[in-house]
Amino acid sequence: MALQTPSRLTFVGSIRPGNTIEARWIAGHPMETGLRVDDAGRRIQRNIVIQVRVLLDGQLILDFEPGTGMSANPYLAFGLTVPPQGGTLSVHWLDDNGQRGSVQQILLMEK
Amino acid sequence: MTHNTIYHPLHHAPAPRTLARRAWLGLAALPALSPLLVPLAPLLAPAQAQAQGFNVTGEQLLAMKLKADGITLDFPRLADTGASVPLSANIVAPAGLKIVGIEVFLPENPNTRALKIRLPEPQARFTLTTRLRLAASQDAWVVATFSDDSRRGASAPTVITSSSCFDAS
Repeated sequence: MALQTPSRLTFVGSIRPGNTIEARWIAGHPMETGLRVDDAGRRIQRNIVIQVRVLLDGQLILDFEPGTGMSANPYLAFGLTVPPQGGTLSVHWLDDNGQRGSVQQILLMEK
Repeated sequence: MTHNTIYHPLHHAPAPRTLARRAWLGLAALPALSPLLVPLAPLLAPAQAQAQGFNVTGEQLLAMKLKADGITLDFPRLADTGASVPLSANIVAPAGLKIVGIEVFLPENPNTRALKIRLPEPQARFTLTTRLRLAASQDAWVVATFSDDSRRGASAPTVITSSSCFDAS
């Protein structure tokens, strides 16, 4: 059974309606390029995150398609305008081996 | 005298259609169809196209003569290793336009497109920070596509002291 890949989603900035904050997503994924060889000379099979989808309240707002040029433990930070009613931001990812994962965070409004 | 025109398999046994004749006819038609087949190849094999990467060379990017207006990159001039080099891009769309897509290219990498972003909800400005894996010292390119299908792109150079794509470290 494959180990579960940890991922984390955090916000930086003041979460107030209309404010632009930074959302940061990181996953503990090896991002094997398929170009490396192991000590025995065998090629290590490619396994990278091929799709990252960001949804705000279930609606797709960003669609990332990483390539082999992304570093191990892929990190994506992007600007996000806080909607007036707040909401829930979720990030879903898929890798070459078919492994999936998701993480979500509620945009808690500051008083 | 009229002939009976009702078909009967015993009366009118058709000449056997050999497979070889059909096959040769099919082969003869292939060159005529090949111009249609070649452009469809990426659509027929998306997985293979993705595995190969959408390789764009630095010369091709330079030949596009993209304007860099509105694109600001923050990329280190020197990195100890290419394993994880931070890149920040701040993109502001021209007046009246919105950003619909962004691509990050590393022309010296085996697969040059490091990241593609699609914005289902086009935005006037977009900020992105990520970490890239570089095979060699090179210019990192960020190319933005706007709502009128126009493109702008900016590049930033970096020098790294060791590759990260092929070694087993």
